Amino acid sequence: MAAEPMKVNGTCLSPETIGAFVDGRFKDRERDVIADHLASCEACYFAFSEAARIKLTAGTEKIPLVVPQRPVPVWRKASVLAGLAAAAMLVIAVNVFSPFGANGDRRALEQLVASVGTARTFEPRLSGGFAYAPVRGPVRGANDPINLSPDVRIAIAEIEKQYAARPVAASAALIGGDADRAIAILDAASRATPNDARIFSDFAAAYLVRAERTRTTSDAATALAMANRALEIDRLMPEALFNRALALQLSGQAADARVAWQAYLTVDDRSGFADEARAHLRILSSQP
Amino acid sequence: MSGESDFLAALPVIDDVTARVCRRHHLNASDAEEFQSEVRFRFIERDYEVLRQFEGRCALSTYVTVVVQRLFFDWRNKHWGRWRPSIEAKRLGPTAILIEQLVTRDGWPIDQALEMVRVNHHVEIDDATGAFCDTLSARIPSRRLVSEDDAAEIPSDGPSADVRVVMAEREFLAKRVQAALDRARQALPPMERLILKMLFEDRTAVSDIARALHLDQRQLYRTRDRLLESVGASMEKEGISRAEIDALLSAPAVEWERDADGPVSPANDAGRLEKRGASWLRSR
Repeated sequence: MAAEPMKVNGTCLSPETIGAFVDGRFKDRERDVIADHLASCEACYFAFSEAARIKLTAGTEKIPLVVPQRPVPVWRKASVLAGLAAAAMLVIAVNVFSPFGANGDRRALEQLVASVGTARTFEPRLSGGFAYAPVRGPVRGANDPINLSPDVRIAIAEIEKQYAARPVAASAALIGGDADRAIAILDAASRATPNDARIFSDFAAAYLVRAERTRTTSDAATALAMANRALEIDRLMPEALFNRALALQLSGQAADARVAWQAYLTVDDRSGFADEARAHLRILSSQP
Repeated sequence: MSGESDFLAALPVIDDVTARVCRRHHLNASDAEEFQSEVRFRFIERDYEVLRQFEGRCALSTYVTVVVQRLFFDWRNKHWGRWRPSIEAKRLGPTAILIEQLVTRDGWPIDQALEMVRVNHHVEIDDATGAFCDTLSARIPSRRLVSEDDAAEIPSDGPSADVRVVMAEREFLAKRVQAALDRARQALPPMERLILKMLFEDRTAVSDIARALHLDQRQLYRTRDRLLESVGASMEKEGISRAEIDALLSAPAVEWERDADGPVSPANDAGRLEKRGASWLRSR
C-alpha cells in the first residue's frame, strides 16, 4: 500500500482547509482563494461537495465525538452537584497534568495559547491559534531575559515536563526565549513527520526569532526554506505565509518580500497580523 | 496514547461517514469492506498522524468527513484504472456512473447492468437516468453470441453508418458546448465559477448551494439568473445555438435530501425494489 497519498500535495488544499470552508469559517478574499481552487481542482471539489452533502443531509455535527461514558448510578443522583464539581476538577487535572489526556498535546498547546494570551514577545508567528497582539520584546536589549507572566511560566514548565520531545515543547521553548532548543526539537519532529505544515512553519518561526536576536542572515535563509516547505504542504497556511514574508524581508529580498506580504493579505486582511503586513509593505515601499 | 484515544473517540464518525460513502457510491460488500479497512488504516498509520494534524480550524466531524471523501477519491481512482466516467454521467451522479461503468468499462449489456443496479444496489432509476440509459444503449450495441461461421453474414445490431455520423456530430457539438461553457466560466469571479460548477456539473439545487456555501438563498437565485444570462450570451457569441444552451443550462436540479441514501440495510430493503427503475426496465 502506498504511504503518501493521504498527505495532500503542495498544489491542493489541506482537508482541514476544505473542512473550514464547508463549515463557513472563511470570509471575503480568503474564501475567494479557496473557491478559485475548488472550481478548478477535481479532487478538492469532490471532497468539498461530498462533505457538504453529508454534512447537510446527515448532520454529522450531531454525531457525538466523545467516548461513551458509563451511566451514573441512581444512588449518586442525590449528589449531582458534588459529582459535577469533582468531574470539573478531574477535567482540569487531566487537561493540565496528564500527558495522555483525550487530546494529548493539543490540549497542552491550547493551555499554552490561553496562558500567553496577548503577551506576544516576538514577531514570527507560531501555529496553534495564538492571538494577535503588538510585539512586546525585552525591556532593555535583544538578549535580555523575556519577562513572562507566572501563568505562561507554569504552562511552559508543564509542557517541558510532559511533552519534552513533542512539537508543542518547541512552541513553549520559543515563548520561553530558548530558540536553540525549539530548533532542536523541531529538527527532530520534522524528520519524524515530514509532511506536517505546522512543524515547518514553526521551524521557520524559530529560525526567524534566532535571526532577529543574533542578526545572522543564514538563519533567515533557513527560515525561508522552512516556510516554503510548509507552504508546499498547505499553500494557504496564514502563519507560514507570514513567516515567509518576514524571512524574505530579513534576508534583504525587498521585492520578493513585498509580493509575499501581499500574498499574506489575500488570506488575512482583517486581523492585527494583516495590519502588521501592511505596515511592512509601507516600509518596503518607501525603500528605494 | 493520546492518538489512540483520539482515534477511538472519532471512530464512530469515521465508520459512519465511510458507510455513507459506500452506500452513496454503490460499493458492493467486499469493496465496502476493503474501503473501510483502508480508511481505518489511513487514520491509524504513522501514529495517528491524520488526527494529530487536526488544528481545530473546523469541526472535527467535518474534518473526518473531508478526509474520508478524499480517501474515497484516491481509492476510486485506483480501482477505476484508466477508465473515467463521461461528463453526462458525472452530472447525473453515482447511479449513472455505476451504470456507465458496468456497460462501457465492464462490457455488460444495458439490460443486465440495470438488473444488477436494481437487484444488488436497490437503486431506483429516475427519468433523467432513464434517458441517459437510452443514449448509452444506442451508443453501445448489445452483444450476441453466434458461431464463427455465421458471424460474417450477420449484420451488426449497432446503429447504421448514418446514425453513427449523427451521433459523432452530436458528441462533437457537446464537446464544443462544454468548451464554450468552460471559456465563459473563466471570466467569472471565483465564487461564481464555483456556483456555476455546482449548478451545471453536479445539478445541485440552489437551496443546497446556498446552504453549502453559506450564502443567502434569495440572493443566490438572482445570482443564478444573472449567471445564466451572461454565460448564455457568451456562448451565443461563440456560435452555440440557443436551443443547445437551453438544453445544457435548463437540466433539472437534484436536491440533496432526495438524492441522499439513507442508512437502509440492503437486506431489509426488498420492499423498495418495485420503483421507477423496475417499471422503466419493463417498459423497454
